[in-house]
Amino acid sequence: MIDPQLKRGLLDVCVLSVLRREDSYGYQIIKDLAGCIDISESTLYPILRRLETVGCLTVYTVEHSGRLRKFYRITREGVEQIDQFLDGWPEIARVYDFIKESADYDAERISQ
Amino acid sequence: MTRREFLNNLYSRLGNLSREQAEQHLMYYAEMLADRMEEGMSEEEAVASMEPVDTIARRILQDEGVPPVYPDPAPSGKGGGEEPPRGQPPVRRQRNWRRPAQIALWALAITALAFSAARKLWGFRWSMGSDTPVIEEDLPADDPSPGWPFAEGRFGTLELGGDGIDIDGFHIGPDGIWYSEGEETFYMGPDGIQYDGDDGRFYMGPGGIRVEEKDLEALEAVEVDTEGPFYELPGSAITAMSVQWNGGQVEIAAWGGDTIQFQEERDAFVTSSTLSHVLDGELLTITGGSSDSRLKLLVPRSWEHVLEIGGGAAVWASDLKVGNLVVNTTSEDVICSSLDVDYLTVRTTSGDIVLSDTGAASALEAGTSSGDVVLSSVKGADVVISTTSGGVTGTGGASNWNVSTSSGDISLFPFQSDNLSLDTASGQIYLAPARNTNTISMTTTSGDVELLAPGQSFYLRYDTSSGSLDQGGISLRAGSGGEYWCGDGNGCAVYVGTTSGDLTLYEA
Repeated sequence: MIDPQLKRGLLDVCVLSVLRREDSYGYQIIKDLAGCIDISESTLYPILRRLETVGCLTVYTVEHSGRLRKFYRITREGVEQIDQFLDGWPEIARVYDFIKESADYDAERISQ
Repeated sequence: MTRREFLNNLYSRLGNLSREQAEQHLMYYAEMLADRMEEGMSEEEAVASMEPVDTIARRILQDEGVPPVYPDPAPSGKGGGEEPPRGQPPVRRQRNWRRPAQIALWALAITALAFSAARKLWGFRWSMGSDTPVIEEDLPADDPSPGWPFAEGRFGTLELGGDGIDIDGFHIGPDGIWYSEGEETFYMGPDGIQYDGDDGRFYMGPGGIRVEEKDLEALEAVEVDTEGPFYELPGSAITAMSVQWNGGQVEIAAWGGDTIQFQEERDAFVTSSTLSHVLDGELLTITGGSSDSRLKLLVPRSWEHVLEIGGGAAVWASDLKVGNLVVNTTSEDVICSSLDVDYLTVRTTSGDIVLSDTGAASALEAGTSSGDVVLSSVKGADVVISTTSGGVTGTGGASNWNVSTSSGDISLFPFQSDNLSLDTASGQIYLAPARNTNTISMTTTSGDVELLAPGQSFYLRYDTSSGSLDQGGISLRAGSGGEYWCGDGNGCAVYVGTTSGDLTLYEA
C-alpha cells in the first residue's frame, strides 16, 4: 500500500496524465485512474481546482443529455509538470534501490 | 437516501461557506451522481457508492480553509445513510470524554488568564476577593509595559496578534479557541465545542451532541496536512526577496521553471494561512509563519539576486543558485545543501548551521552563538566562520579561512587553503591543512592545538607562556624565541600562540 504522503505527491501528475491523453470529466478521470491509483471524488476535486489555479489545466462546459458537464483540458504548463516528474524518476529509482539493498541487512542484526 | 437528500445533507454541512462556494461543490457532486446513474445505477445505488457525506463535507471545508459545522445530531452511516440500529447507543470510550473535559478546563483557564491580562492592558485592575473597590486611575493609562505576571515563566510562548492570542498550542481569538497537538484538535466557540482525536470525534453545540468513533481505515484516508493558498509570480519581475517567517520552517529549493512559487503548509485543524506577501516595485516580501507551519519557496534556477530570510524559523535551503543569500534566524537551525551563490551569509543565535556542498564564489560567512557549525565541502574565496560556545567542524576549499570560537572546538581539514587563521579561547584546535597552504595562524588561550605537519618543509613559531611542544617524531631545528624549522624552512609559515595550551605535531 502506498504511503499516503507519497500518494499525495503522485496524484497531481496522475490526473494530468489522464488529461494528456484526452480531455476528460470528473467521473471519467476517476474510472481511468482506477487501474493505476485509487482516488475518491472528494480527493479529486481539490486537485482539479488547484491544477486550474496554477495553470496546468483549463475548464470548459459542454451540454450533455440535457445537463451540463465540466470538461478539463491540459495546458502546456501541465505537460511540463508531467515531464518534470518523469525527469525526476531516476533519482526516485536510486532511492528505491538504496532502500531495497538496506532491506537485506534485516535478518541477522534485527533478529538478535 | 435519494439524490436530493444526499445533496441537502451535504449542503447543510457546508454552513460556513458562502452560498456561491457551496453551490460550486454541490454541482460537482450532482454531476458525479448523474454520471453514475447514466451508467445504469439507480438513484439509491449511486448515492450509496459515494463517500459518506461527513467525509466529503470535511474535505470540502478543509480545502476551503473553514471550520466544520455539525448541524444535526443524527449520526450518518455510509453514503447511503442507513439509520443506526435503534436501542444501541454508540460505544463511548472513557478517554474521549475525559480529554475534552480536560481541554475545556484548560481553555477556560486560559480564557480567564487572557481576559485578565487584556483588562490589565486596558488600564483596569482585576480584583478578586478584595474589599477595595476597583479604581480605574490606579494604573497609568499609558503604561507601556503593564506587566504579564501570569504569562511570564509559566508558558513557553505568548504572542498577541491582530487575530487573537497564541500560547503554545492554543489560539484564542474573536471566533473561538483552538488547540491542536499532533493528531488531536479542539475547538470551542460560537459553533459549539468540538474535539477531533485519534479514535473519534465529539461535538456539542447548537446542533446537539454527537460522538463518533473513527474506524482505522477511514483514518488513513484523512489528509492531515493542509495547504494554504498557492502563489506564483514571474521571476523576471522580482530582483530581491525578503522572507520573514516566525516559527516553523522555511524550505527553499530551485526549479527549472521561470516563476517564483510559494505556499504555506500547516498541520493545524483550522487552516487560516498566516502567509502574506507584498510586491513593492521589484522587491517581494513574504511574511507569516507559526510553530506548525512550513513555507515552501521555489525559486527559478536562473534567478540570481538577493534572497534574505529572517525570523524565528528553521531554514532548509537546497539546490539553489541565487546571487546573495542572507539567512538571519534566532533559535532555529539553518541547513543548506547544494547551494551555488555569490555571497552567503548565515546567522543564527542558538541554532546549528550545516552547510554541505555549498559554494559562495565571493564570500561565505556563517555565525552562530551557541549552535555548532558543520561544514562539508563548502567553497568560497573567503570563508569566515564564527561561533561562541559551539564547535566548528568540517572541510571545504577557500583561499582564506577565518574561524573563531570562544569555547567550542575547531576541527578543520580543508582540501584547499591559502591562508588559515583559527582562533579560540578555551576550545581545542585540530587542523589538517591542505597541501601548499601559505600561512597558518592559530591562537588559543587555554586550548590545545594539534597540527598535521604542513609538508616536509615548514617554519614554525610557537609563542606560549606555559604550554609545551610535542614534536611527534618530526625532526625540527630550534632557534631562539620559539622558532623552529623543519627541512629548509621554506614552505608553509605556521604561527601558534597560546597562553597555556600545548602544541602537538603529527607527521604528514
